Amino acid sequence: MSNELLLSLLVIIPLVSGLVSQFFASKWLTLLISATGVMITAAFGAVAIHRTITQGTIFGLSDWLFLDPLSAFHLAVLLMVFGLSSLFSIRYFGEELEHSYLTLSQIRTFSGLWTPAMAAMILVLISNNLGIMWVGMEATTLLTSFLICVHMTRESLEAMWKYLLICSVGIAFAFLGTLLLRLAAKDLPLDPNQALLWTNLMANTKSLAPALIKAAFIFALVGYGTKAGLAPMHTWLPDAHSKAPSPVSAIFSGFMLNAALYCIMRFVPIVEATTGNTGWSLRLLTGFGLFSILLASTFILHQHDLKRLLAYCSVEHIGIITLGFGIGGAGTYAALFHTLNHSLSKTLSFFAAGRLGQVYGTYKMDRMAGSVKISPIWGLGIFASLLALIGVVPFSVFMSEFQILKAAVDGERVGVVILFLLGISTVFVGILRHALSIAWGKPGEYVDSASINWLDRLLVAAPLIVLLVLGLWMPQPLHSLMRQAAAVIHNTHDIGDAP
Amino acid sequence: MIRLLHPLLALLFAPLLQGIIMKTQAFFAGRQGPPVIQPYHDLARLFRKGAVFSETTTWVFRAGPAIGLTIGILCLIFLPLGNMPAMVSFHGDLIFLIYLLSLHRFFTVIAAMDTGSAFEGMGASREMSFSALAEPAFFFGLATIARLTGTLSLDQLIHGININLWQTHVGSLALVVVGLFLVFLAENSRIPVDDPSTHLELTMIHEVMVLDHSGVDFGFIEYAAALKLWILGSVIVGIAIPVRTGIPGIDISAMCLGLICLAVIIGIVGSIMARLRLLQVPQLLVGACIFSVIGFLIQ
Amino acid sequence: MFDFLIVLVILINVRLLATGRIESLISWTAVQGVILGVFALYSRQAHLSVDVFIIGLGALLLKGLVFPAFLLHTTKIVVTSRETEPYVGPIGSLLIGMVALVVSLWLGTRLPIPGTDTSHLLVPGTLFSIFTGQFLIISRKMAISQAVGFLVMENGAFMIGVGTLYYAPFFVESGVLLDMFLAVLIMTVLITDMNRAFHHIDTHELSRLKG
Repeated sequence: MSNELLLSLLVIIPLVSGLVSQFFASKWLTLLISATGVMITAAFGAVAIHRTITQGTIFGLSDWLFLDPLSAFHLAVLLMVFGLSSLFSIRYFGEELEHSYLTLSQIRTFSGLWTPAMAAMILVLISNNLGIMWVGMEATTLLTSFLICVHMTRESLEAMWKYLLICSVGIAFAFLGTLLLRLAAKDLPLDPNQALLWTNLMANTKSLAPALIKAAFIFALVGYGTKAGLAPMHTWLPDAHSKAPSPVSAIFSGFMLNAALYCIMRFVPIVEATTGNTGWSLRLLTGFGLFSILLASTFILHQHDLKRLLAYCSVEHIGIITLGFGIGGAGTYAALFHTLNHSLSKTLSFFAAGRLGQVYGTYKMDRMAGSVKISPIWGLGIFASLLALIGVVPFSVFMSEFQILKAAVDGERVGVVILFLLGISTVFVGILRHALSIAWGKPGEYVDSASINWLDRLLVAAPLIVLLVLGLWMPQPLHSLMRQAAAVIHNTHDIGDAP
Repeated sequence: MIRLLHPLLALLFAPLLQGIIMKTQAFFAGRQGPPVIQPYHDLARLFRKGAVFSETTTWVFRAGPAIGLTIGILCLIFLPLGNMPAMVSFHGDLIFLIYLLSLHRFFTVIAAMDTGSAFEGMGASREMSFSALAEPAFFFGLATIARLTGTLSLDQLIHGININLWQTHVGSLALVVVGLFLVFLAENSRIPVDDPSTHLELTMIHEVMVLDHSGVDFGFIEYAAALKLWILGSVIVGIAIPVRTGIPGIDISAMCLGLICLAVIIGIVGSIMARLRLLQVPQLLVGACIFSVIGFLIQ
Repeated sequence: MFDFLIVLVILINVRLLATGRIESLISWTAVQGVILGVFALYSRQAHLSVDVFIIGLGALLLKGLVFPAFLLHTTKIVVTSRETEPYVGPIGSLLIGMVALVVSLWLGTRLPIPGTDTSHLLVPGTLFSIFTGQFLIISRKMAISQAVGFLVMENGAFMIGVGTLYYAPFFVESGVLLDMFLAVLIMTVLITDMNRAFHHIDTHELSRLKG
């Protein structure tokens, strides 16, 4: 199969499966088709990632589509998150179907938007054209907005309006950033059809106008940063994450935020090369990252709702990832590693929160005590994932946070180190308090124990095992993929001396 | 000699503009209307009459109209018409002209206050509050042109406007013309700001202030009003019509034609629009200000 | 001509800041959309080909007719009061707008676009449009006026796009327009839904989610 076809199929299959799912009158079938579409896409995606690892960057459609190590790494994370979340959606909505909470049209809304949203995120990753990348990002916003209110409640409508409006405004800024970038390349002797291609811009950074590039980066950072949930543009995030159905919250936290950060990371090498590697853009990233960590950590102390707690935790982790990118050097590698770890652990925690929420009928943490007794699997899931999220040894989140810290220490960034430690230790205390009571507290008397099947066990075991294994042992292919991805951001071809 | 031409033209033909306005409005109303030279007849009639003065008034009331007319004539001395130079011109006469016009307003207002009548006091207060908004618009408009032409003398400023300037700065010039036109409507008490033909005191602004004047004094006021129309009109026409051929015949006729067109436009505006509510007048003038300010900013 | 159209866009922004009526907000946005469509066609007349023409015409129809029609339709369904209920009154908005215009003009001098064939008002006009849109979103309580603010922002970005690039790939531009279309569609549907659920669309009272 040609690279061109392969890359196109990655977008086409989810779109088609979203469409097909609309034609069946059975609720179960609709859900299953959606999940099947995701699995088929994942298979093709795995092939594409394999090709990138073995053959280097692959191109398609007159270079408009491409898959380089950076996008391949993110694609791998995406497929993992979407694959798990699709399985979970069968379990989660299945539970509601058994109690007939959901109507066919609600299931259709979900299935019709779930896989197209995946297609939009894949489009963001595989498009070499920064304009198409923007289109994909905006499409992501629009397609996911109705996913928030699959259950049409007042709160979810409110959350959706905030999400739609704030992110659309942010995306409009990003559009201006993209345009300014294109303007900076206005006088280059390039075919207009090819001028917005990232690879072309990277090849011509010498002749770009620095003032315009800087302005473009600021707009892109604010714009995509809004979508990524960087403080202070994060205000939509806790609402949207907490009111969306849990599978949707999982892809929001697990991948959509990373997709937006990915867009920013496409801008960074261009800016750095144009401004002569002065680290100007990295300093901005460091600032936003630290601010997000600190702001989120103060909010985490005051949360009573489990999903809101997890949402603020996402702001914190996005801050950590951004900080890692901002530190640069070994920090970039660590940030990529942290992306993977955070996505896995956050996906698991939203799964667990969602299932436990169904059992308890609430997300209020003071009423969710003793979940290990109620549902050993999911109680373990929420406890372990919360521990992973706050960076407890031996989970891999600890490893990546440690590497970021080490990079900051090596760079002698004393202020950064202090603030970073302050932030994550606050979060540690704030979340651990709740984690203990949720897992081991005394449960209320009226709660029934939950039914468990093999799918539940798989959904808890798979991410946990990966998190544990990565914490102790790094597989060679993943290591080299992340090193190459870091090299893309550093704009170097030789592989750095990251661990 | 040519420097005397414009003041003479203005003195002779200023009332004619008012006649044209009335004729246009009559045409739109489907009437025959008074002849174009009706304002001259009116003036002649007023000058033949004697004046009646209220016992409560002082010399301020009597002096008002005469001073007003004097100031109007004084303005003409500094006023160019297109390529036709002004009689006297110096650096900054632009600002001098604006203050002369304010002085004119001051004497009208103080004469109105002197009567001690509530109606006239009300008119005076309205006039002053609106002019507080009209003046910045006028200032910014002229400042824009001054910045474009690089001079503070009205003579060189109007002279400096030509086709090239319009081509390169169409945006700001057009904005200034629109802003000045709105000011022009307000300053000359025209619809949609004020209606000179109404005699309902509660709604009037300018006319209510001169209710107590009669005979020769009222004639002075009417004549001064005609001059003011000409003065502001010639500034607008000078900016809006960039005909600067250097051949006096063409230049002068272009400007005169411009003034006639302006009068017709005022007539049309007066026919197709209604008076604004008093509360909306400040909004209109703020609009004029914004036009001028944006014109000033974007050049 | 370029300058003239940009000045018109700026003036409409000022008008939008000053207006309190929801209908006039929408209809002035429509006028702005038409002007931008004309701008798109005019600025690229030397490079006019079929796809460029389609994009220009599409922008004109969408921004000038379709979006305002959606919004007006929604307004008729949901709105009980025609005022936009601003936090900042018209005169205050205008003053802030003037300050923003000055800042935009200053930034415009700091951010020169390569090439000599573009108007120096383009960047300030764009920045001012973006500001106006933002301000409308922040300072107006009603959901529809926030949607209008989004449109105005997008118009600003569109203006700099078509004003400086004589040719952009068809897929990118049509993708952008399609996204815009979907965004407005979803917003109007959502506003209707919100009206059904809350019986108002006053975003000031959307305060159930906090902290």
